[in-house]
Parts: sequence; C-alpha cells; structure tokens
Amino acid sequence: MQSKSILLILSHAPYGDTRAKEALDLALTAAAFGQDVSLLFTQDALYLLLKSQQPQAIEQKNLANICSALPMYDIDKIYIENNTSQTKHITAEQLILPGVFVNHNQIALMIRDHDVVLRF
Amino acid sequence: MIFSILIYGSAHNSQSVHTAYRFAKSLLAAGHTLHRVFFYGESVYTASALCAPPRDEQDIHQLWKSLAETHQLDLVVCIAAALKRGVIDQAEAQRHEKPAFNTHAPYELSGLGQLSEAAIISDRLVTFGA
Repeated sequence: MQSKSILLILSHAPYGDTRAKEALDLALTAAAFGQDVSLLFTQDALYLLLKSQQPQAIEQKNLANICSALPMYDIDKIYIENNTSQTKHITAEQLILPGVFVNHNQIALMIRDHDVVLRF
Repeated sequence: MIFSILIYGSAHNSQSVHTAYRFAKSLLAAGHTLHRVFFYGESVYTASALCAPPRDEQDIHQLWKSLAETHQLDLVVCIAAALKRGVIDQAEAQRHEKPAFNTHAPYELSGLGQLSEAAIISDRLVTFGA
C-alpha cells in the first residue's frame, strides 16, 4: 500500500477532553496501515509524556502507557516544541519517551514537508 | 482532485459540521471527487437520527444524509467515538445488548482504518476542528 507521511500535532492537555486519546488511537492505526507517522507535542499536550502522571486518581486510563508503546508500533519520530518545554520547566528526563526538541522554524518545515498534517 | 473530509468539531455546539457540509457541496459542484467523510470526536452526534432541532433551524443529520444519497457519498463514523457517546446502529445495539439504536445508512460505523485509507487515497484531507 502507498505510504504517506502523517504529522499529528497535539496541543491540548491529556485528560480534559478526548483529543489526546483520539490522536494516539489514530497514530497507532495509521502506523498499522504502514504510514510514516510523526507526533509533535506542543503546549499542554507535553503533559501527556510525563512519567509522573497519576490519572488513576481521577479514574482515567494512563495515556503515558500508550505513549511508551509507540516505538513498538514503529512510531519513533517524537518531536517536542522547545518553547513549551522551557516555559513549563519540563526536561527530557521527566518524559516517558525520548523526543527531538524543535523550534518554531523547524516546526514550519515539518508542516511543509509532511503529506498530511492533523491537529488534536 | 480527490478530497476527503475529517470532522472533529461538535455537531451541535460548533459550526464545524455545517462548514464541512458547505465545503463538501462546493467541491462537488466544482467537479471534484469526495472520497470519504469521516466523523470523529464530538462530530459523531451528526449520525444520530433522533436529533430533532427546532423547525426553523438546520437539521445537520438530514443535510448530510441527503447530500450522501444524492452523490453516493461514503459517510463513515468512528465506531469507538460513536459507541461511547451512544450513537449506535442496529448491529452494534444487538452486539452490546442495548434496547435501541439511533443511526443507519448512509451513516456507517467503522474504524480508524477508514480514515487512514482516506488519507492515503486522497489528494487532500481537509479537517474541520472544534
């Protein structure tokens, strides 16, 4: 099957609504269909990658567990907006996955270079 | 050009399903192909046949249904997003032992694979957010 590059840009917090879960579900499905999937975490979506999140306190499934399984589905292009990590004082050591830190210019190029860009 | 449309916005609390509808009509009028419309997130309520808006307001369920019947469109509703919101067809109602169902053709419950396939097939996948 033909392969396209798909960039999912996540910018909302993980548990306030269903966007993060729906973005991850789509990422896993697209990867299963052999698509080249990249994930970019900006703004409050960066909290999705925190190792220390404890959603069991609000009886939610831990989405970090899904994130940590992404490499098993050949999704290893994980990008983190530099500015977000700085303003939130979140460092790479606190994250459940290794990611590439990117600035706004690099994000602009990523949006240009992917076949499909979807925002969640 | 081959288009597909992905809608995430709320059916009744945002304009996105309506805007997507007008975009679909325009691209069909311009002679383009609409490969698939995929309803995800809150937009799945569009598929409920039980929505009864006031008579002087648009019935978005009926609008999409008529457009789909006229142009043989593929209206796919994310099954996971739909079932948890109580948008359910006859087969799923039986499977989950629910007392009623509220959606049927041309709306079709199916998986995210249909969205991935639409992204691959189409020249443009246009999204309508919340």
